[in-house]
Amino acid sequence: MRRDLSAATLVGFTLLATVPAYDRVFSTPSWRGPAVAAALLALVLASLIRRLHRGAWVAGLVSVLGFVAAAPWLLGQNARPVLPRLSVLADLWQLLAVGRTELAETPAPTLPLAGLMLLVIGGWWLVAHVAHELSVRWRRPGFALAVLAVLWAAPLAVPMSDQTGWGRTLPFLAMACLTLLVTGSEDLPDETRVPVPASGVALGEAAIAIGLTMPGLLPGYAEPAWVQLGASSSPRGYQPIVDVSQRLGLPEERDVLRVRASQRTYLRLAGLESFDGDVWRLGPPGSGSYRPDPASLFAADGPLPPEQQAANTESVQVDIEVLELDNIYVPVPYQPVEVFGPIRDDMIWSTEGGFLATWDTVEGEVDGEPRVGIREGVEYRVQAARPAPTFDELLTTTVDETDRERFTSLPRDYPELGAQAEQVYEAAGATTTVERALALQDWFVGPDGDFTYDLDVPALRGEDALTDFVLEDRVGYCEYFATAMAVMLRQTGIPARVATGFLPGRVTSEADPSAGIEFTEYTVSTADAHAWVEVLFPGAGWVTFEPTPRDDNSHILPTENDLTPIENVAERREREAEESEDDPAADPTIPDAPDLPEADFQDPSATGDQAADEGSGSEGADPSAWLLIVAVVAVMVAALLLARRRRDDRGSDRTPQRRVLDAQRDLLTTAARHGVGRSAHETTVELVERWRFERRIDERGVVVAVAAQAAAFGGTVDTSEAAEVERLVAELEQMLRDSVSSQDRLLAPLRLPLGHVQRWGRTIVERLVRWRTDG
Amino acid sequence: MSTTDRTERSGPGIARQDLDDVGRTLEAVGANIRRVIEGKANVVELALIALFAEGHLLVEDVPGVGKTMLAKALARSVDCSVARVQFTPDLLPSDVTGVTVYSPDTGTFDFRPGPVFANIVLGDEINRAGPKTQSALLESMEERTVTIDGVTHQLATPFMVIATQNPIELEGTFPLPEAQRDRFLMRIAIGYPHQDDELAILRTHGGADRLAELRPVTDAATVAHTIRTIRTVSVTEPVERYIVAMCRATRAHRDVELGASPRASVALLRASRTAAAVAGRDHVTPDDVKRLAPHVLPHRLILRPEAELAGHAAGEVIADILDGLPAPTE
Repeated sequence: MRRDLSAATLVGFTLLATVPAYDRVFSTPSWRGPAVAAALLALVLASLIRRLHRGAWVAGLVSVLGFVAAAPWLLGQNARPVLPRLSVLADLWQLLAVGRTELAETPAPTLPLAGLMLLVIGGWWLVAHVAHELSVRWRRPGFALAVLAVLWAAPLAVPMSDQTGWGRTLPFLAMACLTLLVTGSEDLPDETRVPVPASGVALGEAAIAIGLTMPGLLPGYAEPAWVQLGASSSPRGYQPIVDVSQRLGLPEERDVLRVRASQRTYLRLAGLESFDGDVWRLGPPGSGSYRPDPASLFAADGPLPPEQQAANTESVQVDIEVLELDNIYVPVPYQPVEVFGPIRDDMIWSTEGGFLATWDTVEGEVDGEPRVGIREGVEYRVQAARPAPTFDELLTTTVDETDRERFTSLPRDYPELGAQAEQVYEAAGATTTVERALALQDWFVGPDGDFTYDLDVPALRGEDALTDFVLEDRVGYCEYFATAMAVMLRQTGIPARVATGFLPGRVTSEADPSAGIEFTEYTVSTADAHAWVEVLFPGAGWVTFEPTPRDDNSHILPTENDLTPIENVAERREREAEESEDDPAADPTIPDAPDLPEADFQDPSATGDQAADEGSGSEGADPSAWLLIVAVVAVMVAALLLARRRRDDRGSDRTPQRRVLDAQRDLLTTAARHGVGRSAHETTVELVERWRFERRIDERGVVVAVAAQAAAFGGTVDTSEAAEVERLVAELEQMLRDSVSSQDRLLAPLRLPLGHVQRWGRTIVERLVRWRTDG
Repeated sequence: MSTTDRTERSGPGIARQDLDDVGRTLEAVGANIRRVIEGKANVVELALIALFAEGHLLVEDVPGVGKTMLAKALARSVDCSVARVQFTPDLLPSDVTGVTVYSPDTGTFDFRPGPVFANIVLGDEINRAGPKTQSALLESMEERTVTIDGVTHQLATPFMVIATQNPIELEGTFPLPEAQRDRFLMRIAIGYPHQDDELAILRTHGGADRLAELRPVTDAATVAHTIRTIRTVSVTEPVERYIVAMCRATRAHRDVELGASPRASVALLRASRTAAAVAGRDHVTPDDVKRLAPHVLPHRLILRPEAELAGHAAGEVIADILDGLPAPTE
């Protein structure tokens, strides 16, 4: 028992020694809690089963069930551990696929996304269980170390350029040495069977050999790998950039989102910071594959830090259902404050570019091109605070030099565009940043610029394409306009960037507060794909400007009076037309600060009372499941108590005879469980002789057998003999366990029934033969 | 049933002191016999068991392996009366049991006891005598009395018959009737000696007559006392049940025409008790039973003709039964 405990403790500490290795690939330490909890739970569960003298199969089954029950809780998806239900299994399965995508696509160090975390806690759980079984049940701590080494090596195998991994490997190596020292003697090869030199020397040589080659295999050491395992596929990361033109150019318009929003709003995917002369990209210029600074990444399972502080904001709330979306960026109103819904565990919020990304995706293709898209049917709710500065407020803002330099950088000089911009500013009398931005926007959309919106133009590629567009052709679509305006702003020293996303979409179901429908439902299609310009006003946030004169007037145009309008151009014109006819005071009423609508998912921040109030509609509140849990727990406790009772009954006032017989029974039970049990016709003495012949035990078995027979068949046994027998039986049990190979041990539960079947078969055949010969 | 019940049932048991005495006696006799029988410790022990279980022994083997030597050595080791009868076809029952003869001196008919009145009777080649003579001996073996001319004579105590029989010579022999073989506690075979032992036999028996040098190591009274003591070796119900189950199994076995009788159960128990005492134990274990069954039971079985034709032997039947019968562990 003490040996079991110390072996299990060693496994536990060795598991903990792998923590530094994992710290390397996670940008925050929040992964530790769930992983360590999973490992400890698995260890405790395995030890408990072992303590109850149940077999390896039972332990495995209980462990799997325990994991399914505990995983949602460990992942923080559920406040309480629940009975494994099919829905939970389906969710875990789904999450597993997400985890695999995340593993392949997310560059390290990464946030502990839900999918990755499932893989991590699953791995820790599995390794903890297997290591426990190997180390405690089968007394093979060496094999257990091998399994633990796999767990430890996994994060070190993640290629990262930055830091060395030597320091992170030391705790594990120390624990491994300790384990070998404490338990090693049993694992050394038996000299009678394998001709090896003195085992210590062999072990040392093997360790040196492994130590010399392994670092080469593990990039985590920051040494070049001697052997490249598999193709060096680097994660795709965050750069699969949204191609607006491709969406707009689709032969068939497709619905991509269904949105219920408190007000009309652009749904933004990302703010693109760097321009290479042709396209806009995420992240700073020059970086082909973009890896966000880990410091700018945040898990989306709580309030999101703002990308830019905004003094005045306007609350926007939307419920979004993804119908078909071919990228990993989550469309949200800018800038999101918090996301709700289960998918948020798998989202990352980046304060660089201000985007939310998820790897809860599916592989697919759009018009023959392979694409990774957000899983269809995903629903989430976003609470956003849209920067809503007043015109006067923006007049006073100043940009610091770092930001100005960063957001005004261009791959080359655009003197013609700069001159044109200055010309526009002059014509409008614009002197401040906001005035200039509005002037430029109005020049693009208004009659002065004489631009035409048309999708049927060649892509904006080539040295002079942009200049030609602005100065000569003046025909294009949103990408042209947004790019042109952003470049012109930058050329004239105004920090700007291009945002991509979707227009608010078409109204498919009007809000009807009398019927309880608070929100208007919009449907967003591929035709609503859009790009626009954002200008940085420190203290007020990134403010949206709209240079594209969409021919359907579905864009929202900021004006000097209302920098953040909620009606689109078509509506505004309609209203203005009506106002000029009717009462000019009439103002469209919009529902502000609406109540939470009925949603398919539950707000995770809702308190338990609210959840209970919602009754049968909510998950996890199924009373029958809880009754079942209580019943199962009760039965288990009762069984435990009974098992204890039976052992305790043996306790105090047993006769020496009884004690010896109980010891014999224990021995026979252990033997049977390991597949070397007594055949019915064997007496204890014969059984022990057989074991000795099979080299499982030594002559101590004879002492036990003789004493057991004396106790059983009328001989005399005194207390000291009984104590001796009990001690010997414990040793014999251990020898028996050690004598059975792991494979035989696994097959032991099958051997007995198989033997019965074999005997029955033989009897039947014999009877048939005799019946035939008699007949 | 709890252990306490069983312990009570097994009676007062045998005192340690008595057990030690028994052990000494048995060991002394055993060692004595082993001086002339090389390398057959097991056979010697079985013979001892037969003697101290107060049973009769049938030694069946080919000529020249030491059947008579064993019988003689056993007889000489005990200081008691020994008679030897060489069975021949013309041997009469009265040659075995004794005869009443007219005494001219006294003018009365005097009873002259036959060899059967000795403590140990060696019946050599018992299957050569006619059935009438055989029955005379066999009946006296069971009843331990002989009735001649209406007078019943009590036989000596202890009384043991050691009969030898040659299984290969069939011409001019009268095989023992199956029902009467039952009266022998055990049938044992000696078998050829091991190479080294045979060498030892050459050396020892080539010279002086080792048998003549054999001196008794115990007397009849001690043997009788030992026999009584051994009867108190305790037996628990599971072992009793095991014995009964074994004998019943012989009756149900497919190859057996006539199975072991209840007398066989009693014999098996008696032999097992003695075996336990030989091993220095005060209780019978299933191992004692299993060890003795192949010697106590086979000669009592009559196999079906088809089984015999198929080449099955009674020994195989017993082995088969032992392999199928659940042995008690507690």
